[in-house]
Amino acid sequence: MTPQEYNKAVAEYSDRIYRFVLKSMGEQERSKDVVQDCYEKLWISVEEIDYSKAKAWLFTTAHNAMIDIIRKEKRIVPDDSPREDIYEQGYTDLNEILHKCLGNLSESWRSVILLRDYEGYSYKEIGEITGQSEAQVKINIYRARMAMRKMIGKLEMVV
Amino acid sequence: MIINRQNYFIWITDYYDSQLDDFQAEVLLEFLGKNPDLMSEFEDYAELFLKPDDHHVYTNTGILRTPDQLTNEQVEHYAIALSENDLSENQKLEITELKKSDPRFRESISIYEKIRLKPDNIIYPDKSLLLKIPGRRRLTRIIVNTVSIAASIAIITGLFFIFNQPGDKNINDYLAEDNQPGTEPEQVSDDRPPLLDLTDELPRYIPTKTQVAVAEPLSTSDIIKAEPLPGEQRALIHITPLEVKENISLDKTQTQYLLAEIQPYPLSLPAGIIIDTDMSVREFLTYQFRKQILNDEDPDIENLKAWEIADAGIRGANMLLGWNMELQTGKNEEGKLENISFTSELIKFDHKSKKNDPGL
Repeated sequence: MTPQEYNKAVAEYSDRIYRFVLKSMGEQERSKDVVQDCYEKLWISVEEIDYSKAKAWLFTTAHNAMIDIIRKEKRIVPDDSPREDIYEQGYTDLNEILHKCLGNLSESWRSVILLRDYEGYSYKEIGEITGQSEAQVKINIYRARMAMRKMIGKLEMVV
Repeated sequence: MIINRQNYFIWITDYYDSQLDDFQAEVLLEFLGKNPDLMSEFEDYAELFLKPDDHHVYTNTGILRTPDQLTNEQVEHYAIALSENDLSENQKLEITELKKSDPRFRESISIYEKIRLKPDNIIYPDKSLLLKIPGRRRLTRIIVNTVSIAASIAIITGLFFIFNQPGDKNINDYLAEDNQPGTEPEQVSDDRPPLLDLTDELPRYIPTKTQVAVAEPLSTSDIIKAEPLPGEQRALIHITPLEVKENISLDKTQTQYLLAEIQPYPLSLPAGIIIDTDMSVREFLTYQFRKQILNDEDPDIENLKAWEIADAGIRGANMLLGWNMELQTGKNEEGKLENISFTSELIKFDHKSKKNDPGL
């Protein structure tokens, strides 16, 4: 990758990486640090990484960095939370509710859902980023969807 | 294998499994013709083998169940699979049919199609900090290489001159040379004492208690008469040769005053340091190197170590290029170096000192 291509990767992917990390971790400052670290590592290895693989490389690096941070802090996120909580907080927009539900998912479920819905990655690509098998990714996505539906309840309540 | 009454059943089994070729089949039938009591057994075998029912074929290739056989969880599973586009075309058609007859499918499919996340418009605020100026990396590398080479040459050159000076001399050596018979000092026109260029040899003129001796109590003017020459060439100092006698030495105050008189520029000697021992050029420069460059508050005059020179280079690079590199050392209780750690924005490493490590 040339320096010009590196800058192109910054322009095209930094927002996506930041959004992925921010939605996963929920903290702006640490999310910014993770993104900065990812691009520093990319710059160090700029000559070895092909531009066509930069996006997946950045997502993989960001995901690994997040996992490290979360494991260090031993942060425990419940898989489900009572759906009453969602409505008690006064959300009426479906997307807001979905993002709130997303925050209640486990880290592994949250990552696969974000990569699937935001980036449109296939099961195989998500597996390469998160280090899971293709089958495991599929299972996690299905379970995450079911969990989100449980949290939301009946659609008529929010639409 | 020759067929007989002990193994005929294997032949029969193979016959119905279509494992016998035409010749073997003829052999079997011929054998059964010669043994009619086994023919009924042959016919009974035929009923043991199942045949496919050509009239009963599933048309639903995907789900294979009727709606009333599907649990709610299975319905959700198919609804998710449909929203994830994991179903074949036939399965999609089946689901479409089921959707018409089963309200659970209608609700689940509708929900899972809508609860997909839509990306927020989130912008990374520090994008400009991530951008790199094209060519900067190469330029930086060139600068680093150039500075490294230049610093190496400068250090090697300096060390060459430092460590290749002729044997250290003190003031008495020079005075003795001047007083040797037949080496009368050259007289200048204004009858002043001869000039001695001390610019390069200044540190050698640091005297010691036992080496400078005079016949009578000394005054400053008796020892050295320093008069600046026109043009402020202060490095050229007049020295009146001393009459040397034994057992008379300068006291501490006079020694310090003598130093003050002969130096062309003020020496940065720390307060309280008593110059009453020999200090060679190497020792003097080592002292000043540690004091001025490494900011050592209590420098000694032991030989410079490799890491000290490296430390000086790092400090210089930081000043020149605005970098933030750091070389830290750890010492044990005896004051001996135990480890060195280097830290910069890009790399960090530790080096543990070994016994007799020549580099440390």
